[in-house]
Amino acid sequence: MRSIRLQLTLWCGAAIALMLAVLGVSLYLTLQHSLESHFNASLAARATLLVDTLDWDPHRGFHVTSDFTPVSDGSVQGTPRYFQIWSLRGKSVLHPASLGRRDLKFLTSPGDTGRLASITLPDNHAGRELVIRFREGNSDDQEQGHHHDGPGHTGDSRNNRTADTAQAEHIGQDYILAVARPTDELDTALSSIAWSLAVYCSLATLCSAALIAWLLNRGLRPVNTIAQQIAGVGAAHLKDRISSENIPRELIPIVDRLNKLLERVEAAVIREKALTADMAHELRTPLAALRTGAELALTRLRSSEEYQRTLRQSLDISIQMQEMVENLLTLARLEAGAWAQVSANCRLDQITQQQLQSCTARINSRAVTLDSSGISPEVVSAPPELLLLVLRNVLDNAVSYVNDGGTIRVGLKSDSDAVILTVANTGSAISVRQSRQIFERFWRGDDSRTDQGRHSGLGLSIVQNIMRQIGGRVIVESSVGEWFTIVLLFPKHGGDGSHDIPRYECL
Amino acid sequence: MRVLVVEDFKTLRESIAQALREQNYVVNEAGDGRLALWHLQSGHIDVVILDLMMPGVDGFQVLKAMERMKARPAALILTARDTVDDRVKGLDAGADDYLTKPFALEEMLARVRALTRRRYKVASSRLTIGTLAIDLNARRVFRAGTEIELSAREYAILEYLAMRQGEIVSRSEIWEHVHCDDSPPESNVVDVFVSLLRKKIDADSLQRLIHTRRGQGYMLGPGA
Repeated sequence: MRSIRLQLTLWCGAAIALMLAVLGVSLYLTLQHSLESHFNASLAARATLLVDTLDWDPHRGFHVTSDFTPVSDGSVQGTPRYFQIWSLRGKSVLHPASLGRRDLKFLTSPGDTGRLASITLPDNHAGRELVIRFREGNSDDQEQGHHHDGPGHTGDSRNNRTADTAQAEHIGQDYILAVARPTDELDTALSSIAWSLAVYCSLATLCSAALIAWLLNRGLRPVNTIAQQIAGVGAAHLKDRISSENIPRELIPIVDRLNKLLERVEAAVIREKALTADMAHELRTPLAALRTGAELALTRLRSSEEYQRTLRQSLDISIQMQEMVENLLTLARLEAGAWAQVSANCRLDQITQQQLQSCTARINSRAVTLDSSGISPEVVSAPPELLLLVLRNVLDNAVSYVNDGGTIRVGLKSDSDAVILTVANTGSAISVRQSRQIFERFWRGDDSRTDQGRHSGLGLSIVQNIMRQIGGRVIVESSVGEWFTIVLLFPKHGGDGSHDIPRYECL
Repeated sequence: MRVLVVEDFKTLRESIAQALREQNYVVNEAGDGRLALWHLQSGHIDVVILDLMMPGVDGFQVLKAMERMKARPAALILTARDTVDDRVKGLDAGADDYLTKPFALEEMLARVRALTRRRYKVASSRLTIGTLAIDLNARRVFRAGTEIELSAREYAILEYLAMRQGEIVSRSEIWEHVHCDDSPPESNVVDVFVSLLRKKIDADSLQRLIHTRRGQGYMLGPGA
């Protein structure tokens, strides 16, 4: 499961770690560059000083005339421990004893500014050498003279002439000088800087991660609050709403949506509860009547008329319950979509006429006039079984609620969009307001409800359900004492439900 | 005792009414709330058996209207709704008892008996007045240990007087609560039955229990 808090913490932590790493590395590189420049500069200064203090005589060759004196910044002190001088051809001309038997690294053509090289010093420490090229005799004569006559250079007059020649050759000659210094201190400084930076950056990363986690926790608290409130919403607390107090502006749309959703759920649950209660009433009341009737009949010996009456009542109730159960099953199957829905092209006018004929006896017994002159031949594509159910229920409704001596008018026609079946009866007891409820289950136009015998109050629910399924619509128009009209709109081409039927609203 | 049966399912209502009549109750029937309210206005109903789901004025509205009545009858809700919520709602609305459809007839009759006792604040199903004992469940009467045979109507009058023992009960009250619908209220049918009852109850005993209050009615009790 992905957690926003964890993800944000990780991403922010990674970003901060990356920033600190870049900062640390650049700081390290800057410091390294500065320290190395300083180191190299100090090497160069030593080399220059060494060149200045070198002396040459034909007998001793190169030698150092004096120890270095401390300079003001204290960076160069004493004679460099490691240095060596070569001729251009690579012949070592000065090899101080401090080097032992080892040589420094000889580099040809070091250029004017010198070349640097990493080496291992004779004492096996890491070091760096600066190799420069210098020309002997560039220093002023006075100094040279001074060197010659210096007390440390008591001449050996044995090879005086040779020496002079050698001196002459020596002047203006280029040599290669290598000065080396251990880099231990530099390396130690750099590594300690690197370590410090790494440690501080890691600590800073950890601290900011903790800070971010805390801030996120604080920032996401409203989300937690909402989550808790949602968790508290159960079937028993559907009235509860998520409070938008102390909720950040960004979350208010979510809370609003959730509350609207809760409202819809609550309404649906209330509807469902009402429906269950209705169903319980509609099924249990006739059952209670059956049971009480039978129990009453059995409390004592009764006349055969009394028993017959009880049996007749029981039979009536059974028929009524059968009707109800059939209708409930039909509705349940329709809602579950479990009906075999093989559409066929049906002659709606013929089906209507057939159904009207089956009502003839009931119509005649109540002196009702039937006007079916408005039925023109029309074809509707729908499952025939469902069409039959629709017509049976609609006509049954009309026959049941028409006033004695009234009129039932059935019409069938089509316009460009739909096939329109109209079933109207006089003597409506349904007001415009009531016609909204007419498709509700168990709703009956009369006030006698369960006592009306055959009517379960499910017929028009079934009609509406089927019309929805075959992509049609049903509209009801009514005014008390006048016409009660049901208009059925069937889609004209195919019953796939995608066909455009004009969207009439129920009155 | 007078019972009002309010139920919109005709067959059930008639069966209940017949069962009650066979138990010597005076029964009124109502198919909807409006008619129930009309019957209740008479003020002589002891127990109402009330269906909650009715068209028009429903059971809850009837209960609400009953709250304002002076001598409020005991109400037994008879409904198909069986969830705890429904029971709580029904009882909170002022009902005294609750029975779910379908029900056993015996149970319903027992509950009506219990509600009748509650209506007259009688704790036990066995009433004792002096040496007179009445078993309300078995509908049997004893005087000093000897059973006395009473007709249904005599028993009904005695039961009503016993429920209100110590009180003066008017003739019209007796007429309203005991099955006398076949005679007009101003007739002396109540006096006839009371005198028959008195002969059977007080005949062999020195202590008279049924007293006449001239111009007011009758009183059942040991005192004069």
